[in-house]
Amino acid sequence: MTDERKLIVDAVKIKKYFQTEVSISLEKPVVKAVDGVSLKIYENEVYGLVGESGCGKSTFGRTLLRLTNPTSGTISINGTDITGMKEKELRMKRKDMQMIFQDPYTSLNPRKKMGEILDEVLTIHGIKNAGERMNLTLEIMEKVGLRPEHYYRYPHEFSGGQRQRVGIARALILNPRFVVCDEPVSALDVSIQSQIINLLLDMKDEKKLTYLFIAHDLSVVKYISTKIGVMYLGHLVEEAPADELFAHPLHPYTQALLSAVPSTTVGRKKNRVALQGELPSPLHPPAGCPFHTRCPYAKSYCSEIKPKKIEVETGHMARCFLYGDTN
Amino acid sequence: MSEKILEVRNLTTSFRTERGVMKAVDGVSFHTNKGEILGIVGESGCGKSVTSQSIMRLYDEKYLARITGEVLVEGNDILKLSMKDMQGIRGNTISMVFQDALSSLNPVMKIGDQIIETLRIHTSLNKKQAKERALEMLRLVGIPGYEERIDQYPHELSGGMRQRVMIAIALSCNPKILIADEPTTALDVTIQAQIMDLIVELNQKIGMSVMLITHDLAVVAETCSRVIVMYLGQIVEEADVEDIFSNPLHPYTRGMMDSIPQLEGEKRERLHVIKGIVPLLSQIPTGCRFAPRCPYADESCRQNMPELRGEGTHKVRCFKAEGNLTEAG
Repeated sequence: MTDERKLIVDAVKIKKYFQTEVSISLEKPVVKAVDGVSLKIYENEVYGLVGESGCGKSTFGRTLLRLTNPTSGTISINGTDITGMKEKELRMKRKDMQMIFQDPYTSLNPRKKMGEILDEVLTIHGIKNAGERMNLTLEIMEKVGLRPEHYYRYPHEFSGGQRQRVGIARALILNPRFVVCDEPVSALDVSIQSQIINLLLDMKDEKKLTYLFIAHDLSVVKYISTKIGVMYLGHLVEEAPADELFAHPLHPYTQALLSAVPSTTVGRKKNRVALQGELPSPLHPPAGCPFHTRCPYAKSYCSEIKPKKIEVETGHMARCFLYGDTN
Repeated sequence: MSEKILEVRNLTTSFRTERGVMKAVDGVSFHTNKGEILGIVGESGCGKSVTSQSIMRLYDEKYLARITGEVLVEGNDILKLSMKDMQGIRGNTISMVFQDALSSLNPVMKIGDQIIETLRIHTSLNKKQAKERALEMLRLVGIPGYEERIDQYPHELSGGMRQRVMIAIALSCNPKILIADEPTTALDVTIQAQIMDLIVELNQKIGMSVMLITHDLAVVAETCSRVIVMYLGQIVEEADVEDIFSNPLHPYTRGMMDSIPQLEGEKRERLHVIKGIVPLLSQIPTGCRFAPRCPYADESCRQNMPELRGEGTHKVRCFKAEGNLTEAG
């Protein structure tokens, strides 16, 4: 069934290693921010990517758009392999793939009026007629809930929610197919957060968009996503349809993560899975399963062999020996 | 009847700004009972942090225009104290934990020394005793390998560990009240759960009263016994935690609760939205401050300011909710 839908993002074994700059010893330590992540996102799907700080989710999102180049692996967007694409060609391809950032304040030029910010995007992408650019700008502004008079305002004159609307307008003005939303509502107050989530979902339906939605707030991710992937130390450890993941989390890390989320039910959660220890440094990731140092079910072989991806139920994948033999 | 450890009466704090004098907190009255965890919730600009800064007198003197009202700690008005005497209240009676532990800790001082410094200023302990106490505090807040960690610098610790150090410093002089201003906002959920567990545990173990300032209703539901909801410098609702979640009366409280996606259940309908945005302090509406965004507001709401009223423990500042209030009890 899933195969009939159009594949928009096909990422295969993406690795992104960062060389640390200063080192006293001779061996150069490498941070394995993303360590072999493969995922597919189909048309009009919202793929939620969750995990805690330092798990590599943002680096993965940036790598997909080639805002940073992968160390290895291949990326196809809408059927085109962009892994080795030259900068000039890539720039034109960028109109199909855009990004919405967490903090629209630092990602908008403070010296430019909002209208100019949007106009510039169109100019770069070859729309020469100024009247046409103005029309397109006003059209997208209306769609995202900004008034025409906002055209002449600077970013600092907007509230946080409005600024995020500008960030969304800038990403959507070129009619992209695929948008990476990196923590787009994390900096917003709850009442504004719901406005922006509704706007993102409306735009998705109207423009047939496909999103990679990166966030750490699990209730928001559950609400907005159709499918969710969980990352830990650069690895994708579990992947499932949104409701299924929350109903039957399989990986011990996912179970601990979900149980840590506070709910609006009065009283302290009783069956909370407390995680032991701390996130290991990505400079020295543990051998074998990356989670074995904190896993309550870890066996001796977990520290030696990396578990393979196991499809436990249809569409529900987990990377854990609890669900399959040790190869 | 529970004993009030901290009582704030008619607190008003205004600041001088480029656009004139702004009242960030406007006539706020509430109290914290001994041994309870009181939650103060609201969005940015509602005055929740200014309230705590006014209690501790940690505001920037340069911009402060006026602070009036009373802050009673066990009956004494600490607003009347000189800044020097206030130093004796901070740490010893009331302590504070901030959102961003990295910028609140001294980056060039070992964490142990920071606790020892606090103890040396606020208590009569000698160096050796202070070090022993510092070790004990680090153990109490659950820092693994605390005997080695005591000689580490803040940058060598993770975010969660740094927040534990902050709590250790705050609690080192045995304060009666801990004000925690968004203590977990910058942390990941699993770490947030650990820190909140720690605060609850310390509250139960040593009977310390806590004022928890947060924007996260779920954190409030899990940890607090009583809740105050603030909007634009005023308290709009006050209730026991069970009441506020089962029977929220103010349209703003209700709106906030409806706009968070729920983790439980299969709901996939559109999220509730509170229309408009929080107005600037320079543009405070006349009448009820929430009226321009309220779905129930009528002419009288736009003309007159409702009082914070209620029988018993549940109070609300809304003309439309008062009927429900009497029904509810």
